[in-house]
Amino acid sequence: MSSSESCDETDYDSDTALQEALASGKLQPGTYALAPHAATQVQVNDVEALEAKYKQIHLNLDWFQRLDCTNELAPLTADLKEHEESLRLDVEKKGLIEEEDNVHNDFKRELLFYRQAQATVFEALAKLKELGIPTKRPDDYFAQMAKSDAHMTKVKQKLLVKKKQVERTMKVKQIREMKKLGKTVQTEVMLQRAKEKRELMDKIKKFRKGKGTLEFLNERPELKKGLSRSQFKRIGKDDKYGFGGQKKRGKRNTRESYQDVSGKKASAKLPKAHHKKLKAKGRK
Amino acid sequence: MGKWKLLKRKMEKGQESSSGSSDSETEVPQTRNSDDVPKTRNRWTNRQRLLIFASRGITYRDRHLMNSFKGMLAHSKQECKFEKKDNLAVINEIAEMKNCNRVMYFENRKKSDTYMWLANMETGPTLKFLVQNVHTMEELKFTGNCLRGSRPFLSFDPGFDEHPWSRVVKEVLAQTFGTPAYHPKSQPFFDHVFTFRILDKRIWFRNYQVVEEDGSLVEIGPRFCLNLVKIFDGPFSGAIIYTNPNYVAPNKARRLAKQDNTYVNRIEQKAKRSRIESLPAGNPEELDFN
Repeated sequence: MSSSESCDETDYDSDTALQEALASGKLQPGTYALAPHAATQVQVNDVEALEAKYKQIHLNLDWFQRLDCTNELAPLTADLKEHEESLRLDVEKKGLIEEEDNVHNDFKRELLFYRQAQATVFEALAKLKELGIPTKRPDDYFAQMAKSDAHMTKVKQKLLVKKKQVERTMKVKQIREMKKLGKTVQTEVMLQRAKEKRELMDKIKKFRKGKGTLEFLNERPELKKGLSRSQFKRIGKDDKYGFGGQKKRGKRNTRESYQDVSGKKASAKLPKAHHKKLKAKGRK
Repeated sequence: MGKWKLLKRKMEKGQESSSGSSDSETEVPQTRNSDDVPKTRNRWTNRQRLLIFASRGITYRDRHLMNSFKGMLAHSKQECKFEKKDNLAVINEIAEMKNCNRVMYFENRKKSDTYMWLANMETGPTLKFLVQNVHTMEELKFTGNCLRGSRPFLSFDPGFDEHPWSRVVKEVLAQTFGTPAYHPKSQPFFDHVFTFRILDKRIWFRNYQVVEEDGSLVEIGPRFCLNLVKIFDGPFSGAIIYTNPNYVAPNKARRLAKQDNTYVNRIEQKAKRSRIESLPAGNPEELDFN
């Protein structure tokens, strides 16, 4: 390989071949289709040379100098086994091939690498123990790490945010459950009201017949002082669409948004409803 | 009593007292012959030196990948960016000037395709890989961390021993990524694993931190995939001794992706559908979920 071009076969340019053919007279103008196609790259697998090369470069050193291991996968832990079983069933249902799925399913693929690394760790640590070499770093041994402390705090923050997100989704789920429960409660309330109304009508009937008094009309419980229908609507709409404030520059990055690792979009910055008066009234 | 005799007696006294007080400590002789070669513990015997550098026009992602290796591999040295127009054989001279016998060279083409060249400087071979699916160590999903320059365990899957070409690849990877024992810049503890696995006709790289010795691991990063292009006999020179038949050049891949292949897709869809239908219909009562 005298120049860099000779290892450039991947981007083979057929124009040069055509030019050569034209120059040598094999190709006349207008006979493009007759020009021989550039031969596809010849595949090489020179087994002898490869074997010789391997023998030449192989470093026959102690294992401790090399630290390499060749491992099958480590056995699965119980909970991962369960998860994998369910994934396998999914694959069968879809009519896919397990082998392909190992490549394209992120979880399964990463599990392969993880288990291989685990097997290596088991083997290598056992070997090192045999050699009597300490493996674990003492707690009071400090040295420069591959990732800086600033970066690791960022990672920790991210983990925290993720944990919070999970908690929030759990909470939302719970609220949804409560709402389902709330519907049954609502029907009960309706029934209760119907019952009260019936009782009231009965009492009125009795009064008409001249048996009771009109005392019960004063017992009527005080109604809540709520919001009007339009005010309710206003609050809902403000919550949904935002209210007041500057809309432009809302999507621009700021220092806060840059440092935010939660992965939320900037749309969360849009001004929210701040009808504090109305809201406060609603809560009464 | 002469002056020398007094001195001698003093010295004898001193020796007795010192030997009496510290029996466990080894005594250093007070005189040494100047012809003696000083005894040094020269345990760093496997002197691999790796030159890591890139071509001009490298993308930021690949630069981060390169820098993370510079940090993690204690036996590495760096060079300024290489002019792509120069002949690749110039790398041999650069490595010689830097006193390196291994080279990891990142070449970028069209600002999108990265090639990694791994070469053994004295004897060859040179491996050329296409680097795909790069995730750098800086990504926040990688929560592990390790000592800068601690020696990694190298994990290979048995697939590497199957073919002559894969054995060569394995050996070169082991020599390039393995930090030599007792390297002055390395740390004496073992806290991460480099994992290489052949899957889907390419080599996948992962880096895990050994958190506890019971086998719990956390990924440190980076992640990438190496697609072998070819193997040359010499250091950035020599005959081609292997070409990967499964390799598709990125240019060609892009061209194929652009092509309208609705017809092919339809045929494939049909074939897949028929395969699913041909499967024995499962009776839900018979299915054993245990």
